[in-house]
Amino acid sequence: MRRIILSLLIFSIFISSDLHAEKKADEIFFNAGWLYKEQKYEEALEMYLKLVDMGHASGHIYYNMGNTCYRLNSIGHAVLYYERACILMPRDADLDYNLRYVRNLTKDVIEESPGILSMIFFWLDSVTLNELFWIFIIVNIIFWSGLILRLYDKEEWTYYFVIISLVAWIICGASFFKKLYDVETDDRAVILTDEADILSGPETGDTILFKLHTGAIVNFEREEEGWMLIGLPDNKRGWVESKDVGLVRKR
Amino acid sequence: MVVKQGALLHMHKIKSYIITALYLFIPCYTAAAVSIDMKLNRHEISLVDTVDLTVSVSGTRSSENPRIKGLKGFVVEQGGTSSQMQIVNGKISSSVVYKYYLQPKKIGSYKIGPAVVKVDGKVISSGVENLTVKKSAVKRSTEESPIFLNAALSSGNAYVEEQLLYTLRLYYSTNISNVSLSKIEVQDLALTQLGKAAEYRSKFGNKNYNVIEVKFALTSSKPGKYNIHPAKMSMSVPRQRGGRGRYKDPFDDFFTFSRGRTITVASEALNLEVIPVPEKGKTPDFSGLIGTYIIESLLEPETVKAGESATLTITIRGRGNVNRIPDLNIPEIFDIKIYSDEPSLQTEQSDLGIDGIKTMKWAIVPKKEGKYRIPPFSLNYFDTKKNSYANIKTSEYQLSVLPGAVDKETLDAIDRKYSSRSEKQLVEELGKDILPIHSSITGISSNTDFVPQWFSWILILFPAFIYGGFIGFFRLSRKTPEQLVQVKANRASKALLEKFKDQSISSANALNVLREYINNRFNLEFGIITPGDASGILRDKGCSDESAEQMKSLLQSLENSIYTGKGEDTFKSDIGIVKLVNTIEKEIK
Repeated sequence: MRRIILSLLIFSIFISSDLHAEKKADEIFFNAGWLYKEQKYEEALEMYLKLVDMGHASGHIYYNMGNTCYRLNSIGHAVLYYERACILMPRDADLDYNLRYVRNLTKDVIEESPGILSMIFFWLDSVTLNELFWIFIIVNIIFWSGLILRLYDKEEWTYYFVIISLVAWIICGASFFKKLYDVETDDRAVILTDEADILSGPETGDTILFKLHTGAIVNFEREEEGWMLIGLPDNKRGWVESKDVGLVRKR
Repeated sequence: MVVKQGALLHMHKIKSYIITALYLFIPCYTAAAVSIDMKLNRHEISLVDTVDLTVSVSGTRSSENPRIKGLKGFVVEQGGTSSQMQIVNGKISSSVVYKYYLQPKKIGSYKIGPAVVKVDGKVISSGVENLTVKKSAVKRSTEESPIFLNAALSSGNAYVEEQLLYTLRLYYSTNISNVSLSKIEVQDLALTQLGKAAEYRSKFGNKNYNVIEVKFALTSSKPGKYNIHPAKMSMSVPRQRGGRGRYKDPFDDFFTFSRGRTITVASEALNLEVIPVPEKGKTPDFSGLIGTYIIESLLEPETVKAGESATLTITIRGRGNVNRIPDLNIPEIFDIKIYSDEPSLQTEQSDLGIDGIKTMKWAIVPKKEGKYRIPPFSLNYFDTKKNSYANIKTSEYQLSVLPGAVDKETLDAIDRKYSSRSEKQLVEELGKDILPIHSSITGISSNTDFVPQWFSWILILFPAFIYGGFIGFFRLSRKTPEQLVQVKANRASKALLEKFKDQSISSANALNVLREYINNRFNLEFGIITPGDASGILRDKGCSDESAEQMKSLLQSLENSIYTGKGEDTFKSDIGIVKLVNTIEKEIK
């Protein structure tokens, strides 16, 4: 009996601490919004960053961070946070509008042609990995249940059921693994400073190969002692100081 | 016999068809040679008359249009083409007839023809016809004719785009029907019929006539000298019958009317000289309007509260090239929001020409109190009545604005009201900014980034494992033939012992049960096992001789019972069946 009471007590402590943290996060979020409206953007951004540190890295938080950075005239950060938000809520109309808007404000013309696979799986940009996972899980269950059913019932409709669920299983499975691959290998990075020199090597004295401006999206390759090797779709490559670049996918 | 007569009759019919067909088609080979003939229906006409020209091409059913020389002095109207085929005494003659109506442009003597046509690569030409066109005949014939057509222009001189009136009057003093007017076309002149034709009675010379009057608005797009070709009207008139003193049937008019002939009358040609509007007096703000115009304006109300709207209406109406009436623009006035309506242009036709009314409206919403001057609007046009440029303008208005509510919401409401009122238009981008932050608390914890963990892989693979389990179970639960035999063998002794529990089992049944046991136990397919076979099988399977012999003697005694007619008697034996079977089972194992 004592053990039970002790267990309940520990459980209730966990629950209450969780609720308390949740309440605190709500409060921070509310305050950040209020600060934003009061045009205290730096303080608002601090609040949002705090929320992210607390584990509330949701699409809405990143979206608000993007807005705040735009108000702080930091287009690079705005692009970075909008891109992060886009991974989490790709169908948000406000986000889509704002992202297109800040992208229009960037200086560099970097055109990337979509690959054949991206064209085939054109719907992947509109769904999150999480959504695809659960869709795949449901289809997976349906498909294997159909096969089990077929073991015991050889009627015609079970045959068609298995065929249809197999097709759905292949599509959903391929979509999920493609999306998983895209997310895991997302090496996009955003230039955060107004103008960044891209050098031929990871040292300040190296030759400047080209310059990029805030908000430009590049491909991150590797990092060495505070320098990042980045590349562009037209095969331009070079080194840039890590502090000038933000990775879209946190590592 | 009757059948034969019917068949003969049928044969005769077929013969007659064949003969008719031959009669019809064989003459094709003897068709006449191709020739061309040209004829005028009259050879002396007045300037306002029309003459019919007929060209017949014989010996062919189709040919290209004939080329006719000597038609330069005429307005030529095609009257249609017809083809004919005749069979006379087995000889086919086919022809194509082309009809033309010729309206002379000038008096004089003309040679019309020859008409030339090319058939099957061969050029054939007709003869020539003479035609005299007399001037004096025109007036006299007009005065005397029971039907004539008169054309008139409101002026022989005009400015480019000035609207003139072209009037056609058909005078007739006899019954006519099916009146139709040929299309009047002159390059660079536009004719628009003004309403329906008017019918009235009138006097021409000393004679009373019925008149059909058709009016057209005529405008020219280019300066120059124009010849408006004679207009033509066609109609049906009753045929003339008999001479004087002939008895006139009261039904004649009624019946002969339907058999009336078609005639065409033409008006005289008219000349028009069109000049451009003078450069003298033309100002840069010339609107391009030519005609007579007036401008009107109305501001209602002239006193409003701030945030309320007043409507300024400007109307330009006039006669002339009304499609050119411009859209006027109201200048920007400080502290006043102006919303314009889509201007509307309405045109009206009357016997005096085409009138146009253009209405422009603006909603004027002052933001602050005070007095605002709304400047006059002016329009510069060329007045065709005065032959000079004219400037017309509206009155100047003063809008008195009293204090009123002009908060942002009111102005937005007015914006929405007037924007929705207007027609569709391109959305004008007035500002650029991002959309606001998301403030819903639900946004904090939702949709966090998904990272596949071991749990995810379990979820993915779990149904496959379940399926694998089902497959295994399914396979295990399904027995192989060897297993089935084994099961059958294992169950053989149980089945036998079960059946021998019945104390009243007959000898015949007991024999069958024993044979079944041996078959099942050793997976044999013998139908009837003899006692010798049974003892041999048991020995082969490892049973002792004693058991084999016991089984043999048991089977023999049962067979004997059956053969001696005691098969249905209750089975009795000195050998204990249960004990024997248990012994056999032990020995086999």
